[in-house]
Amino acid sequence: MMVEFTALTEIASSKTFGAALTLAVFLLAERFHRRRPSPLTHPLLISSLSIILFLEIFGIDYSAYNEGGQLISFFLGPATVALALPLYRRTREIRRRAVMVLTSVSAGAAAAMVVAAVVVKLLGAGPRLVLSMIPKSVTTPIAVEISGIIGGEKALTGVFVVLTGILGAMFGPEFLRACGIRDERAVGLALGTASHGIGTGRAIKEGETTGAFSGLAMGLAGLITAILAPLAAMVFDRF
Amino acid sequence: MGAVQVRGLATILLFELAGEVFVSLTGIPFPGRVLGLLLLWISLCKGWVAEESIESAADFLLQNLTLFFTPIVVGAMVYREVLTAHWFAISLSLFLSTAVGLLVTGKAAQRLDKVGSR
Repeated sequence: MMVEFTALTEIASSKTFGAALTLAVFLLAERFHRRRPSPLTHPLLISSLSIILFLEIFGIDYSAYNEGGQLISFFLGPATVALALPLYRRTREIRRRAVMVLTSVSAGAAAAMVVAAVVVKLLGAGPRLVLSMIPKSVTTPIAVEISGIIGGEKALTGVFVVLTGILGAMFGPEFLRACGIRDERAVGLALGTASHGIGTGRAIKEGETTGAFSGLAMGLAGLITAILAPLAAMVFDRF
Repeated sequence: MGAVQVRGLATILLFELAGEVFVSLTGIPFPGRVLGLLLLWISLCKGWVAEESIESAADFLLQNLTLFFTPIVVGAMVYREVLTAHWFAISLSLFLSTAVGLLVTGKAAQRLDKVGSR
């Protein structure tokens, strides 16, 4: 029994284990999502829950798994930088409607950030949770980086980012229409600002203009939140 | 991976590195990678970096963003106690902030769009 246990721990701590497990489970989750497309079957949600379940069942520590997991999350860095390309492709659109785009995205990003932090704070959460909540509306790689800088927990922010995206993608367009917001550009900007990439996935299905503006808002909201979040964190630290 | 992708990835990594180095030298509370994004965006606009030279590497990275993020979300298992202890506060916060974010952005955009087209 003891021998088996040691062998398992040894295998689990090898870099290959975490990397291979992540890739295999992710591919299965993607296939599942294609078969049953819905924000609730988002590959990130299904794959991470499945991996957690697997690790729990076999009693493998996160740190052991993450030896290999790190190899995959390393690519988040260059992927963040690569977001420059879609922004570059829409530079003309940004210039043409600079006031509308920048004002609405900044206002929405700031409002989401403040509401998110104030609600958990009022309901008695500690500073770590409040700080992890602040950047959760923006695209995953940027949110996680901001979280680390302001003193939040990257993994907690990661979970909140995914859940936010799922909420926005499931109810966003219906909610906006119920509030009298029908303009394609406005719907796109709102989805991208409040629910990043997962919301943008839904926006693309709503229409080409909606999708383009959502992608644009997603990038800008990330930049604006990176600037505003350290300020918000300082304010919340005082109270 | 072909030579083009390798060169594209090298360019992107250099911009990330430039951002990280700047942040660590100045100590500003800003993500180095996001600074790298800004620098690359400016370089593309100025024509210092050609779109074609990074296109295939960037597309590869962006298409697999969800995969790269998985190990970080798995890290939530470490925080299960926090998540279960505060599940109500977290759910309410997520619902309200998403709704407010959508509403504020949408309303502002719709109003400013009308002003602009008048």
